Amino acid sequence: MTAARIRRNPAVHEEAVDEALFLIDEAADAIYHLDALAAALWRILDAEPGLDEVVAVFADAFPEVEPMTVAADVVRAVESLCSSGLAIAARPAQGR
Amino acid sequence: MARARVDMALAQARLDEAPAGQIRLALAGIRRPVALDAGFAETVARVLARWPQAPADDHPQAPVITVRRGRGGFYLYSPWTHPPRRYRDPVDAACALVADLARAWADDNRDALCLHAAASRFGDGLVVFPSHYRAGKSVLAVALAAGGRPLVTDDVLAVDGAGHGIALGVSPRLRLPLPAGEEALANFAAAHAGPGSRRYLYLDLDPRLQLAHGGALPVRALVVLERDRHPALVPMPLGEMLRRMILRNFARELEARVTFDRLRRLAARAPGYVLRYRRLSSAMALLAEAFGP
Repeated sequence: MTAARIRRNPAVHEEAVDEALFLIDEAADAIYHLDALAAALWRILDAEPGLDEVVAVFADAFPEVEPMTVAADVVRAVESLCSSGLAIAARPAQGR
Repeated sequence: MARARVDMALAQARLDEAPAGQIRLALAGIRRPVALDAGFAETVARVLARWPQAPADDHPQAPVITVRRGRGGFYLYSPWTHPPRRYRDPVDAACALVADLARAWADDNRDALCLHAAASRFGDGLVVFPSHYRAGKSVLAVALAAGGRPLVTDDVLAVDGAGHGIALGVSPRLRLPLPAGEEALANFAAAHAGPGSRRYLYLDLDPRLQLAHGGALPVRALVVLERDRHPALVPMPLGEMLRRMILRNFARELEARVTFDRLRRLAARAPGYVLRYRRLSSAMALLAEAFGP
């Protein structure tokens, strides 16, 4: 997944209600609520970053946390979004 | 595999028959009948005191739920209980039956949401308490009924597309032992004691203190319960209330988008609060102050 770029599943719809962020996956007939960190990750994925870039953003936001811990948590969160079908890890096209 | 299928088919065929000692009932709002051991039906009649029932021994369809007396207790068979479960006490079997009846009702009324929530009548509307298991919603709803506010439900509230809460007509059930130091509640429970087991006590409420099955009123407010030494009724942000409502909804027949939009409209229309309390008297006073007599 390291070289992959992570993007939101375009079929998933975002609904912001006050501070809360919900995702609706109509194909899977499921509603998700994102906690504050998952919501931050979801917003970062709008730019279709690489995993390293996501880790860097969170490492900057949490300088008091060990970088290895941040990286592990981010990988776990991204894997969770991908396994739920909310995000997609896509390998960049050749020559890109 | 083939043998297993034959065994299952035979088991179903046996359930589809109406053996001696069993009766079939048609419950309002549920398409297929339920089959009950005749001795158990009396308990069920009191637990479902406000849910209209009619004999249905000649019903053309197979029962959706069956409770049979067998070795060592009562056996519940239903599409939602796998494998069939045995209950030694008829009241515990009734509790499980009620849970599956709510699912059967939701299955046959696919336009409705079903929330794990208590609800009480305040004036011309409902105050709904969408709280998790053991949050104290039954105790509070019964205490409110003791104070004269009709109970709509202490566990499951159906909600239609217009945002009206609908009563199913199940008697309230208190977990035993009752909370210590709540004498008024204990007295009311003793005066209205219905079927009970070691773990639970159903109450027989006067009809003026409980809405009958199908009774519908608009939802006026949504109130989440929290135990706290300092009593207060404080607003809850819409997004957080919506999150809790989504978690409390167990009707899965509507599409996710429809469910979300309905609950969002409901939460937007009915203000949300957190009720913090330790004693029932302070909770009831705060609710009366906010929502009137």
